Amino acid sequence: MSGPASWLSSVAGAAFVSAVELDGVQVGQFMLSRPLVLGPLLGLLFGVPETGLALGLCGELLSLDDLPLGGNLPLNVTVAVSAALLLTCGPRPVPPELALPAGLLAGWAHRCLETSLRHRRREYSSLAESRVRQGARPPWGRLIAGALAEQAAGTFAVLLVCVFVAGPALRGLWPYAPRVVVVALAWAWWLAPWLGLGSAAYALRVNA
Amino acid sequence: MSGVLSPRMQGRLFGRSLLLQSAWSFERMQSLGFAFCLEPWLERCWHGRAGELSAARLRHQEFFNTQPYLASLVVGMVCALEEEAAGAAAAELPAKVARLKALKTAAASALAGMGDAWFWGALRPFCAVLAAAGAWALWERPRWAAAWAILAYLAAHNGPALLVRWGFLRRGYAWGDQIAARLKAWPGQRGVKAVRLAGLALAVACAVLLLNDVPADRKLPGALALAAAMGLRALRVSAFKVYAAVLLGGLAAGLTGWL
Repeated sequence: MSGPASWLSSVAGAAFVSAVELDGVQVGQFMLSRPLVLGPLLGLLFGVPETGLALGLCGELLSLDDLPLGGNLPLNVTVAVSAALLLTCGPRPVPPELALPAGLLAGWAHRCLETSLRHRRREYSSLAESRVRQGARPPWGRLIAGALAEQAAGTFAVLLVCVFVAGPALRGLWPYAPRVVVVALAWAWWLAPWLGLGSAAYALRVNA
Repeated sequence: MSGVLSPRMQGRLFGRSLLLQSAWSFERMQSLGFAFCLEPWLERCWHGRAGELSAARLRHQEFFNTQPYLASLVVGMVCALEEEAAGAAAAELPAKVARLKALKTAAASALAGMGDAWFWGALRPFCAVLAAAGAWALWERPRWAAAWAILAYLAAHNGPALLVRWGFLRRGYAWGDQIAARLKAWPGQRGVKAVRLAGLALAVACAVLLLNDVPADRKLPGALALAAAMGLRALRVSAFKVYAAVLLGGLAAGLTGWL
């Protein structure tokens, strides 16, 4: 495994993830943002392919049955896995067993943020409609670019908090963590792929 | 008005359909993206008829939601019906528009169910376990394993998905209001079951690879965790909650001196 990434590399990684995250719902849906694609890709970029794979596998299998149907907005697993990887190989690295639950919390925080962004976007419909009623063409470019920029900025903000606040804080606290916490985190990390496989097998049940 | 969906127009609609969910909102879901996607076609159909063009733009900003890949079929169908409406006599226009709106709503609902079963319920989990199985098999060479996971997932998913998204635009246009009858003839459900079965076989292969890789004293806890996760998913507990329960259970076991 290579050494910790610099602050600049971590910020660049966060910016990269913010752009790729748009693939999840808003642009294309080419699966570039799935954990088993983005995790290994970030792992390769940061020189930690094994960690990227491990986090990507856990995130992918645990989220396989969370279907993006209608208004269902599950925890953002793209942000979760990326945050965990940036925490694992960032300037203040933490072990993956701690980074995974911290990343999941980041994914949950992103979900809350995205909920409010999706509510806000009703204004875009109103604006488009009022322009049509005036006999004009809706400003499509501005509307769509605005929605995408807001989403990317939200993702970037969540990841920056992970890099600049959560990473150093967790790194500082980790040596003082009680042994029981360390053992429980290691246990959950070790079992995560098994839990993910169970979830995947359930998702693939033939008579669904 | 062209009368045909030219490859250039198909390309424009396809490119725009990739942004179908770009402004997704709880209130109208994909409506803004759908209206954006149709814009070049509406401008062509209703060229020189500003009032009708505005009405067409407004009717496609109403609530719309379907599976994003199969949306191209609805886009194609709506193109055919808009073209038909634009060519109709003024007296027939209200009836044509009402029919268009009813067919669009019905097709969106039906295709949402089908698309969710095909893509989210079968293809995506299959691609995930395909990528995972290869990655576990190549685990000793992490760079190769990472490259496999990325390429296998993207190729296995995007191959069929892009074919459907591109091809269904033209089919939707050609089928028009016959979409429901044409889709009945598709062997979709059998395909879904076959992909799920193949995925399940790969998931079993993953479990075998994982079992071979752990020390003997850890095989049983791993297998039990897998079975417990399946059982809890059947009770509609999300996988992340199962993970959180394992973490909290580990803490509790540690505090009571059991772990």
